Amino acid sequence: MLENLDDHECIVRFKKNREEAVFNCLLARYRMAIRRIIFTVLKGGDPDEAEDVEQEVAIALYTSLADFSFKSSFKTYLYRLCRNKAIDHIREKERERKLFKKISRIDMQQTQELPEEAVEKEEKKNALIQTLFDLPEAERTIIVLKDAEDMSLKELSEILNKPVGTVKSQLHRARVHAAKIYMQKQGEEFK
Amino acid sequence: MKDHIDKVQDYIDSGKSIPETVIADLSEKETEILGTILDFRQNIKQELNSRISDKPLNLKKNVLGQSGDTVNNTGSRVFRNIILAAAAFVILLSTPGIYRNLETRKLIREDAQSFVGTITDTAWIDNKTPDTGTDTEWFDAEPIVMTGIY
Repeated sequence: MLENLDDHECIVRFKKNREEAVFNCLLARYRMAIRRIIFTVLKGGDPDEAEDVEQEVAIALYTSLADFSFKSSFKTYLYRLCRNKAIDHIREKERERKLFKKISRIDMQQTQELPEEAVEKEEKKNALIQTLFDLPEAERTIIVLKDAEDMSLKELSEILNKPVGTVKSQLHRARVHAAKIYMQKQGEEFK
Repeated sequence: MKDHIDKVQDYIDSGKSIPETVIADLSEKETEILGTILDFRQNIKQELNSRISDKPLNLKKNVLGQSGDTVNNTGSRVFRNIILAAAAFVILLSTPGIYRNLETRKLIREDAQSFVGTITDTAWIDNKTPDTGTDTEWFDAEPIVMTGIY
């Protein structure tokens, strides 16, 4: 029954009684999209870390949904939240890494080489995903939001907080960049 | 070259089919790039899906409390830390006060012992305590029995 409600109806209902079932229904509806965005921003990485970010998204959504003002669509709001939480996570990890390096005076590059190498080998099995990971965060996110999540340029401009024209030129540039990297990788494979 | 690719991408984004004339204008390199873009676009979702789980998220119990209120999130953690810091600060400030208070009590006690000793002509025995186990201190004199009508 809850599945028949659209996003707007779900949110209105959640605002009334804070029904956990309604919240879970909304979350389930966008589960895969949330994971695709987190996966893209984190460049794959540790599944546990991705799950932590997903939990963070769920907490933030739960605490803020009652105040959702419908100024933007729920989808754009949620995708922006996912991207921001994933970026926050990367920054936090980077801060921790720097702090740890400072305290222990251990060269983290050496200790991190092994898992990263292993991950890279795994990732190189597929040129497409590797190409995506080779792009800067802004470019890979814009490609995934447009080409995997099928968002309009207007929605993209809301998520990225940039004018439609800027978003459009960034998207076009990102796709060409990705295509060139992908072609290069394909060429290397055939050598 | 950029213009041609942009033009085709406009068609892709608007969901319209690319006219033959536009395709005819493309160079070999542009065709290759656009073919790759289309390939990328077609497969990206599937490739991402093959790398992520579709299992429902197990929301941590401490994330959403049983009443539905959020607990243990960053906000409440920060609030708790502020409260703890404030409590520690208050304790720190009051420590000299407590110390002074203990010192005063000790002086009063010594004065009282001396006064009682003087008026009853007895000596104070610190270690003599009653069998009840209370920490009341006793004098070595017999209790004064008051008689008469009050």
